[in-house]
Formats: sequence, C-alpha cells, structure tokens
Amino acid sequence: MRTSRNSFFQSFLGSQLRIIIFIIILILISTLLIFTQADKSKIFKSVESSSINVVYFVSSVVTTPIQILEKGISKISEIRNLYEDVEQYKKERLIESRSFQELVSLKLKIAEYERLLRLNKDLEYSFITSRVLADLSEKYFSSILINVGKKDGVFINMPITGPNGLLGKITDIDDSISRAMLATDVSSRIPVSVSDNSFQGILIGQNQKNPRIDFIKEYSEVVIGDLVTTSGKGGIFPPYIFVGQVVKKSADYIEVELFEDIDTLTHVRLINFSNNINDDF
Amino acid sequence: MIFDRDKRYNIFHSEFIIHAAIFISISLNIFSSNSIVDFIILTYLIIYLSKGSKIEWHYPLLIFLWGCYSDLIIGYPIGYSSTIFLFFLLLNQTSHFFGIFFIDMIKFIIFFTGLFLVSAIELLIIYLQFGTNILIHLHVLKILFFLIFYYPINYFIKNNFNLYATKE
Repeated sequence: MRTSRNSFFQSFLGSQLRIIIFIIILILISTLLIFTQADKSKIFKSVESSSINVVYFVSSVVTTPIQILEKGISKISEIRNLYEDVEQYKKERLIESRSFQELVSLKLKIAEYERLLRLNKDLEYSFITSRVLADLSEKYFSSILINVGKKDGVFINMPITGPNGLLGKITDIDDSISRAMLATDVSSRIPVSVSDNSFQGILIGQNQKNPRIDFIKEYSEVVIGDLVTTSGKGGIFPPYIFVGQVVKKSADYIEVELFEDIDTLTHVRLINFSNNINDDF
Repeated sequence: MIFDRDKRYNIFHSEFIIHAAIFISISLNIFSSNSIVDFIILTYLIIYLSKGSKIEWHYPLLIFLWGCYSDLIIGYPIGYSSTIFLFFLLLNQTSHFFGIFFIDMIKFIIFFTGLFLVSAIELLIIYLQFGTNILIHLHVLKILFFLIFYYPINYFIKNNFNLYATKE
C-alpha cells in the first residue's frame, strides 16, 4: 500500500518537474526568437507586416462591445464640450479673421521670395490622409495602426504628420493597414534643427510625452522656447517640418514638447517625401 | 464513469474560459491608449492565477502562442510577450510544486515580486540598448492599478474553477 502510494507520489512529482523543464525550454526558445530579430531579418519583418491585417481584424471583432461602450461615453463628453466650444469660437472669430489675413499675406510674401530664389518646388510634397485605427502610444515601442497600406502607395519610412507637426514614420506595411512608429518610441531617432540658428541635434524618444534632444554642439546657446524642426538630414524626413518647442534644459539634455499629440488625432497625413526626391532627380 | 465525464467537461469548461479571458485581455491592448491601464499586466495576472493544479503539455504551448499574438498586436519583437507570459506560468508551477501556491499571502508576494522583477529587467534592457531613462513612477502606477484586481480575480478563479482538484 505504502509502496504504491510512494510510486504515485514520485510519478506525480516527476511529471510536474517535466512540465517545469518544458516551460523553461519554451522561455529559452522565446528569448532566442527575440535575439534572432535583432538583425531585423526579412522573414520576421514580413511575418509582422503581413499579419497586421488579420490581427487587427480579430482583435477588433473580439473587443467590439467594449469599443461601442467607449465610443458612446466619448460621444457624450464630446457633445458636452461642443456647446462651450461654439461659444468660445464666436468670441475668437474676430481675432482669428485678422490673424488669418496676416497669415495669408505672409504666405504670399514667402511665396514671392521663394519664386525669386527658385526654391518653391523644394518644400511642397503630395500626401495621403489616413484614419488612425489603433493607438499603441503608451507602450515602450510607441506605434499607431492606420488604414492605408501597399495598395495606397505607402512605403517604409514614409514620414507621418498631424495638422501641427511631425508624428513619426511608417515601419510595417500590409495591403490595407500599416504600422507607424511615433517620435516618442524609445528606438526613434530623428535629425532636427533647433532655433533660428539651426543647431543640429537628434530627437530621441523616451516613452513619455516629451522626447529629448542629444548631440547638440551649441548646447549652451539653446534657450527654452526655441522651435524644433526636422533638419532633413538622413533623407527620411523632409526639412522644416515643425516638431515641437524646447521646454526644459537640464545638465545633459534638452527636453522638447511635441506640437502634435496623438491622443487628440483621428486622422494623420503621410508625406510622399521619397517620391518627391525621385521626381526632382 | 459519469463522474469522469463531468470532470473532463469541467476541465474543458475552465480552460475555455481562461483562454477566452487571455484572448480578450490581449486584444484590448489595441484600443487602450491610457498610460495607467495596461492590459498586458492583466494578462500576466490571469496566467499566474488561472492554474492551481498540474497542467498538461499543451497549456505552455498555447501560452507561447498567445504571447506571439500579443507581440503582433503591440508591435514588439516576436517572443517578447511569450517570455514574460511563460515566466508567470513558471512562477505558478514552481510555487505549486513547492506547495506554497495555496497560501494566499505568499502567492500574492510571489506575483508582486515577479512583476517588479520583470519591470526592472525591461527598464534595464531599454536603458542599456537605447540609452533612455524611462519614468519609473508611471510603471509603478500601472502595476499598483492592477494589483487592486488581484484579490477579486483570485476569488473568482478559486470559487469557479475548483483549483484544489487534481486532474489525475
């Protein structure tokens, strides 16, 4: 009796240990998988790109009731804010009309200067407007999913912007859905110019609202409030796209508040920058 | 005989609910843009609490596949979420092996320690690979937010899935 009980106990322990060892082996395999992607091999890249559509479809079906509930709540708060906005708009309309006239006259003046300098074609790009399907900006690797893909002429590294400034670039493309990496992503590196003097630096994502700028030689000359724009170096982003404003200067880095906040956007713009270069050459 | 059939049905029923819960909590990530509510931590919690008895071979494999699905949604390198999901399953099975899984307080401490360990390793890797300091207080808040759900989920699983019954 005792022997049979002991053998049962041993076999139970044995099988439990085997399961634990099996889990450890799977953990090792998963870790290996991560390291094999460090060199961005084509197989993994194509698996990731081609699965965006399916994964998005499945997830959206599963979470439909929650989405409907969330949309309902946000609609109620939108309607509540709408009345206040209309009142505010009425007050600001007069001031804005004057600013608009100034803006138009400035734009005409700039266009005239560009015509005289033969610069005008260099800064005009065609674009595609796309809807934001999913916002994954709060993860370590901040990204968004948008509803355009290969068939719309989207290509890897295509810059994306909002109405106020730069957001990031395209990293994965499927037929009708693409993933874009945001400027706040920890692996994002964007060449930028700071202030009117065009001090050159690199904008580095920090997984928080404000990225930082490193590698500025003229660090001491940068002041809080300086404008940050893309420098155009590296060939991915066109020059002079607004990025943000310097808001903090600490001992070893500069912090930038982005003009564009993905939380408030429903649509983004994809700039056809590479095609523009090809046209010129 | 009838008892065996009922037991098999119960096991299938509980496994189905667990996998459905994991599937939904992973899928919710695509629509969550909140800095405090991170559904990945909820998935860790479900995986850690869902198995009180000895598991079958297919269970870790399914968890591995759920991890791959999660990576494809969030855009992380494939294998990243699988590693963490399996780590919490390992914690579960190891504590079960040593007979401490059914002591609620110790079970809670193990999960809490595991979560902080995973977060610390994540932050360290990001610091070493990308040279970026991440705001720690936000991540602590994320963890604390889901720890509120620990006891309710534990209570629900314990009372519905009959964790104390062995499958043999």
